[in-house]
Amino acid sequence: MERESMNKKLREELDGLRFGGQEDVLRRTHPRSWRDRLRGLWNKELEIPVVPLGLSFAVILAVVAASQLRSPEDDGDAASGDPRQLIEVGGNTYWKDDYERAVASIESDGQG
Amino acid sequence: MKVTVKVKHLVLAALLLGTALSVLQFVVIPKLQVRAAVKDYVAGAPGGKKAMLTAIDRAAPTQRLELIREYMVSYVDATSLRSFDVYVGPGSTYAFGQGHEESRVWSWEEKLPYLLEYVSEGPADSSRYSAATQLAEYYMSEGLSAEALAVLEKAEERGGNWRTKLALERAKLYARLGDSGEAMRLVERLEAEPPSVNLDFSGEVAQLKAQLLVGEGKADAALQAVDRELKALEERIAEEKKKFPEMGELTPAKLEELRLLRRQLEKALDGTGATVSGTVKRSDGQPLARVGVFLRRESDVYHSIADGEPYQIFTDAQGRYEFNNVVPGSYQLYLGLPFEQIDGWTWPTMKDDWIKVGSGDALTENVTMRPLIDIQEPVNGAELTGSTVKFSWEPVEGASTYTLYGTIPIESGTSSMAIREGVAQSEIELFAEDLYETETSYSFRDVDGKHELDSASLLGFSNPELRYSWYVEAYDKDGRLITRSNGYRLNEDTIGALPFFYLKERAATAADRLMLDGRLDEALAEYKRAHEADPLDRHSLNMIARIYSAKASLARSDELRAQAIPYLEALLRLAPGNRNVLFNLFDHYDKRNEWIKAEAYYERYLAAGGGETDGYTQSLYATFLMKQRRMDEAIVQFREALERDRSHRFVGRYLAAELYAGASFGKVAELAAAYPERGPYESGPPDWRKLVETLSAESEENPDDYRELLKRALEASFDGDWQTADAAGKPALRAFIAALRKVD
Repeated sequence: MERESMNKKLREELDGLRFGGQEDVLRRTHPRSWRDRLRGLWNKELEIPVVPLGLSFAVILAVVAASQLRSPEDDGDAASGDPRQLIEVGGNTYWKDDYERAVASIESDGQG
Repeated sequence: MKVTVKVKHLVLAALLLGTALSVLQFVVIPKLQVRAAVKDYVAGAPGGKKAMLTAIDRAAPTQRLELIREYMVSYVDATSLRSFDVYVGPGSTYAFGQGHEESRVWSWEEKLPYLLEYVSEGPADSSRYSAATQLAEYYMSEGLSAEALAVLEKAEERGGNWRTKLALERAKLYARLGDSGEAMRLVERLEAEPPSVNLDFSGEVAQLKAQLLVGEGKADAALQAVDRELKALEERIAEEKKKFPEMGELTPAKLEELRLLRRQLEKALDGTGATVSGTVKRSDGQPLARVGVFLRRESDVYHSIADGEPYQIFTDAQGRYEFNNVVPGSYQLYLGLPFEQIDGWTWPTMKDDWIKVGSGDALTENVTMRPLIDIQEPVNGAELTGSTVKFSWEPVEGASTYTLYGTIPIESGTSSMAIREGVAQSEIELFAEDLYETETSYSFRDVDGKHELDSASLLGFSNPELRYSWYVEAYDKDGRLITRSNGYRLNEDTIGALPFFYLKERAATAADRLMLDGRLDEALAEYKRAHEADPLDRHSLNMIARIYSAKASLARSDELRAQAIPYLEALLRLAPGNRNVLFNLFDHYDKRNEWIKAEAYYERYLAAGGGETDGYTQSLYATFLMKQRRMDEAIVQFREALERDRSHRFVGRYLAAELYAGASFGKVAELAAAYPERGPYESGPPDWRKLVETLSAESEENPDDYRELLKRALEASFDGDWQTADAAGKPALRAFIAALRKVD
């Protein structure tokens, strides 16, 4: 009983509504024009595995970045150092690092 | 894990990513690249130059010009005459290049297209002027004078504030090329222009005009041009001062320059311009291309090279240089070199190497760089314990003698002195005592605001803890320097053995330790005790004499100096050939007018050096003779000394001796011109010729009386009675006596 009255009520309420989308539905289920097919493709749902795809993106990005910017070891020792200094000792002028190396090698010779 | 997405979302995401990547690729990364390139280039990192070139090539047009300007035209301007690493001249070497690395310097191959681009595309600013002048210099050094003129003209045609300066550069170039007519035409055009805001500019034009006029033999017209400009400049300065009273004292550099030029022109009024040219080569024949050559006036050599100095040029690819229209006068040649051109080499120029440029002369002054001498022993911090010390080095071809120098570290740097002169072989063995007794200079230090002797420095070579070093110079038979062992040693091949050694033959005594602790008076007492205990103790004697002499010179006390004498005489008995001691004793007795003793010590001094002496000591001896009125002998000694000591610092005394002996004013003026005094005075040394000529003019009224007056004034000056000497009253005579008094 109750079910019937519910049914009746529903019919009354939906009485003003008519389904007019048959064509649309048909176009989607059985696309005939290119446009319809494209639209179908456009809205197609894909299932994508996150991990492999993310990884491959990361690799591509890394390669691009590396090719554009120099790798860090290139600008290693030289760029980080200050400009070379001159030093005047014993009447001569040397590059300070050369001189310090020479002195160090003499000292190690002396001990060895 | 999987996600579900629609194709359209995927495509949109891809598009977004693409845009982001393009922004990164075309905007962010180039910016980062430029930043990285600038950083590397500025730090002088290897690859910095390449990175900079890539950055320039990829940059957008406006940034491109900016980068060219910033890092090629004006940055570390290695092509400018003012940016060499090292400047070398007679008696002075100075480096600017601290930290400028080769990797920042652009070769012409690299920068030529960019500079050309800047000249034709860049804004009309100072950098375009600089780019054009750099290009002109480059073309000149390649022998392409037409291109040099064209690039200047092109930059000039493009207008802007720098137009007139570019025209002036072009005029200078014409002058250099010998086309005075074209140069003068440009100068006249520039003179017709409205006055520049730059106060120096019209002065520069006038300077060039004067040079051109001198080149034509019109020194008087040149002088007039300079006078006109000086007057105009002074008026303008006065005007500016009125307008901006808060500006304070204002002296444009050019004003000084013009005044100098004026003084020079006055001296050379009857002269015409000269040419000085030559080549700069290494002794192996390799020419040095694109090094700076500077012909510097007497008044300029006591400061570092300045922009306003008129004779500056680059050598061409064959190492040649040439200066035209040189105003007659005295000059010294200086070189500007990059490190790699001097590394391992030296230019053996000597302190008093002057180029006397006469009217219309065509002088050749070649420069030959020589390899540095390799030293053999002692080296690398050797600890010497024997009673003798052997120094040896590679022999130098053509060397007749060597001079051995020692260097002692002192608080503020190092102090060097000759240990032995006239060494005939490429080695010498000395007693350790010879080194200890070598006269060394001492330093001072400030203790609680008081200027005190640094007692440790008085130990000289007798401090066993100190690391000493040495170098050697080679001379030919005429006494010309050939080469030396000390210089720039900047790479593995040239660094060689390090010239260091320790003298550990003796241990520090108790007195020495007091010296090291700065307790000078206690040390002196201790040395005296040691000397009494052992009269043969040379070290203590030497130290006592040294302490008294140092104290005497600090306090300017003759009394303290006299206290050193008995110790020096005792030391001489133990070391009869010590020339320093003999010289000090001669000097002492000379100052006290004890002629016989002084003469005896001078003779011993000469004998100890095998009859040789130096210009300075000989001049003192000549003065000693003059004071005794032994004029003929004094004149002979003075003349010899003047040949040896080319600074002619004692020429005033020689002229006095000649005048006293009765030489005519004319002859003495000629002598003064032949031996011009060179001195490190800002205002220039006294012009003895002029002083004598004014004496001559003053004497004309009453020649005989004047000669008598002169003789009396000179007599008084020989006796050191300057008051009487000055009392003569005649202005020219007083000026001469005043100059004579300053001779030292």
